[in-house]
Amino acid sequence: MDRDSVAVSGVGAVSPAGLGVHALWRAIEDRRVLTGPVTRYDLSGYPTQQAAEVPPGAVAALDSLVPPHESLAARYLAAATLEALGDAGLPAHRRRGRLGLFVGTVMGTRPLLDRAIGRGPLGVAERAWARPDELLAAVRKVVTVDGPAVLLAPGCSAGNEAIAAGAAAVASGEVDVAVCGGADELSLEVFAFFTSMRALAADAIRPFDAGRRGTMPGEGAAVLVLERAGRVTARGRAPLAHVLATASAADAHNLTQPHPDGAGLIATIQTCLDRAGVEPDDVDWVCAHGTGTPANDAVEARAVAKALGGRRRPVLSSVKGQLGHAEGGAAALEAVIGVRALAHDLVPGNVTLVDPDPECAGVDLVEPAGRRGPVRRVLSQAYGFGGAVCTVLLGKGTPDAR
Amino acid sequence: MPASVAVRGAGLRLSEVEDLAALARRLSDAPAPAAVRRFAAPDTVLAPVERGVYGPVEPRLPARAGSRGLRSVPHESLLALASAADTPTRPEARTPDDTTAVVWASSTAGLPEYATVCAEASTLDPGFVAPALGPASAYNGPAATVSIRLGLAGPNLTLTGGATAGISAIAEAMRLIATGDASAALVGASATVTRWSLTAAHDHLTPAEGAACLALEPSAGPGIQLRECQRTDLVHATARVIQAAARPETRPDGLVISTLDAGLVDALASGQPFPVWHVERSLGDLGAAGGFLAVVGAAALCAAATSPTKILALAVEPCGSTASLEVSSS
Repeated sequence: MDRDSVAVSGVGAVSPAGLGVHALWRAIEDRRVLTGPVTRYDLSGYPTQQAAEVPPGAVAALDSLVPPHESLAARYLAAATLEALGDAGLPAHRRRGRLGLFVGTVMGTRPLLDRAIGRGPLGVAERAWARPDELLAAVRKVVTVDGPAVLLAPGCSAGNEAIAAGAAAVASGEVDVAVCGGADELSLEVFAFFTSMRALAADAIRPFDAGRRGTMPGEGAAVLVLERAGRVTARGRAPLAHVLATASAADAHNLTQPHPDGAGLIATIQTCLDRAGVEPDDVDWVCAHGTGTPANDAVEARAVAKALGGRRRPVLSSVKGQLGHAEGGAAALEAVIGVRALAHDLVPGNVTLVDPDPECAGVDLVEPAGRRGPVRRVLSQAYGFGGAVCTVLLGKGTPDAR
Repeated sequence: MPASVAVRGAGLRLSEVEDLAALARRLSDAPAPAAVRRFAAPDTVLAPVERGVYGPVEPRLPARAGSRGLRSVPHESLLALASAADTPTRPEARTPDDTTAVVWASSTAGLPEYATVCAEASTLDPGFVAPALGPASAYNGPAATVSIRLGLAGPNLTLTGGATAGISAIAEAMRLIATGDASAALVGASATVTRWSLTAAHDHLTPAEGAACLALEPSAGPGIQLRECQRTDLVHATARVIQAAARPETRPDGLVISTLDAGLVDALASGQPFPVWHVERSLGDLGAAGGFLAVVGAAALCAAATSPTKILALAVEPCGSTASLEVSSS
């Protein structure tokens, strides 16, 4: 093992499965679909009323874990950070070494304004909704940050961009510990404009299915603690995974539509493989962006098939059928699931897939049950409105399997 | 992060500041009077307010940005696009295989669009909010608009938060150039003033709108260079200033600070053998763009100097996070 390689030493998550990575991974293993009727907002009158919420019990349980803050996303992030630092065996305060915070989000604290949506003129009470740095306020109360505190908001690639920025900061020696993640809470604003764009599914998100009708908003936060591998082993711990490569690009095409050839995605996948020195067949799971919208999935499947053309079709699935689309939290949640997939040698299935889209035939769509077998490398890609793309390649934590 | 990057050019859309020379003068002059404007937010409980601000700033889009299809593009994205399109770049930036990155910082991008969707969701039937507003209601509108309109397929990154985001945007662009993700970068920052942004505005500062952009490329030859980005807490940042000032060989020729706290500027300026400029005093409160303008201001002061000059740009947030960067001319 290269002592200077960038290792994942801890993970944390708040998701529609509840609090903690264990709950998240159990839901993935048990193939639970966590989308359902929204309880937080009154959606009567909307043509669809489904999303993926962090359960009310888990939200209530945050009271005993993290400081109060009006923003749920800020509290999700603080809870996931505390879990990840605990998992890494690092104290939140009185640490040795410099710690940096790299957090991705799409809407940050803006959903505080959603609570004013009702009938008639919009009531506006909170000020934090217009202050983006408030997203980090709860984390700052529980973790001493003496390095960079970077809030990345490039669209839905946010979580991967946070991992890329944090991994680079560890590799360059700018920080000893990078807390990298993403967070967003369920936004009624997003739900309203997705409704007007006719982008929402009514019953289930079915990524890569011929009958897919759209996506659903989700929410949550996930955090990966990154350090040099040598620092982790010096504490007597084994890395959970390694960040083998990251790559960023843009479609430069359209605000809401992906490039029809998936140009940015293909570029980032090829760059990741080149940087890690691996072949397309060495990728055991492609954790897809897979939003379930008609516009996205066929483009994505074609781009992955082209970028990973090897002896076998790339093995691909999306967890958004189970978790919804957590926006800024999505890529970070998927990276945490990738870390667990590497540890448990399980490729999660396309749980809601019924009728595979023939347009996606270039990839090997994982059956709903998932697949047991060696998982040595996971490629996880994220992109979104605005055209920014960021892809992350993760490898096993154990040295022999890299 | 590479040791240094070179500044190829700058584009500005600031209130009554046309170019770098005017920016250098503005930093040293007494604060300009602010024009009082009225801000309203229809269909909400927010009462209209009158407030002195620096602005409005008209985009004045150069031909390179194109003119079609811009009707629904938000004002802040137009300011960003105008400043970016005005920034001189390498000729290669317009070739298909080029990977020039766009990295942008803003605290306010998408804010009026987000609020307008919420107001429409309150007053209209479900499903009737304007579809064009939603995708523009996140923070990444300026970076996306610059990338799409100028055809830049390199990495596309948006940073938000307080003043340090403006310097971190440069740090991340330097990282993307160093890793090879980007061949060069257009880095910028922007701010707009609306009734919505005023709900979070600081009473003791003049809110301001505008945009600025720098073209960065791998360091080569003479000109203005950026190096030594440090992102840390206030204690370490203060130590950097004191240590640098202590020895003639490391002493900067000046310090440009972006902070909401004028008292902090006075404390850091006290007893220093070099001048200290305060971005928010001269240009007003531009949120995340304040940190970026500390760097652009330092570059402007270097460009205005007649001999090789080294100026430290520093951003400090109320929470104690800081970012600093050395700007020098040869």
